[in-house]
Amino acid sequence: MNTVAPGFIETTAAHRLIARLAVSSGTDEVGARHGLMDSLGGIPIGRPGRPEEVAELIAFLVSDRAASIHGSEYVIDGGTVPAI
Amino acid sequence: MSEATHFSFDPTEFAGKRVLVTGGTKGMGEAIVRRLAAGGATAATTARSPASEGQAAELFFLSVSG
Repeated sequence: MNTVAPGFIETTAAHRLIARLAVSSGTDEVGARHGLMDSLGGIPIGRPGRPEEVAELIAFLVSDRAASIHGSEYVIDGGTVPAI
Repeated sequence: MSEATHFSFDPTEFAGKRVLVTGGTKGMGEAIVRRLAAGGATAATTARSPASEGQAAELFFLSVSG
């Protein structure tokens, strides 16, 4: 058993949140996205993760290539700096 | 953020495997179902909302209520 701990991943739902924040704060989606990233303490890779990137990690972990990996947690968050 | 992400993969890697992905019709779950199915797995998933148009051909759905 392994676990995957995603950070800010721009799913369809997350994108809708960004769009709502853009409207409510009077900025655009780029600004709203960066505002969210900043609220997380910043994401060193400069963007949210993509669902496909999480899927790649899952595909690896369930594959025979990861047969000897057990009891591990994989954080996939673009290097998100803890805000606390 | 709209550019597609395509990674190379072995389309037979998961041949003969059966997987269950909960919450697999949207977001990360959908990406996981699609990735494992693309790798040859038979993927089943659960959802709290109906499938979107265009999903049914690739995904087997187990519907759950609530």
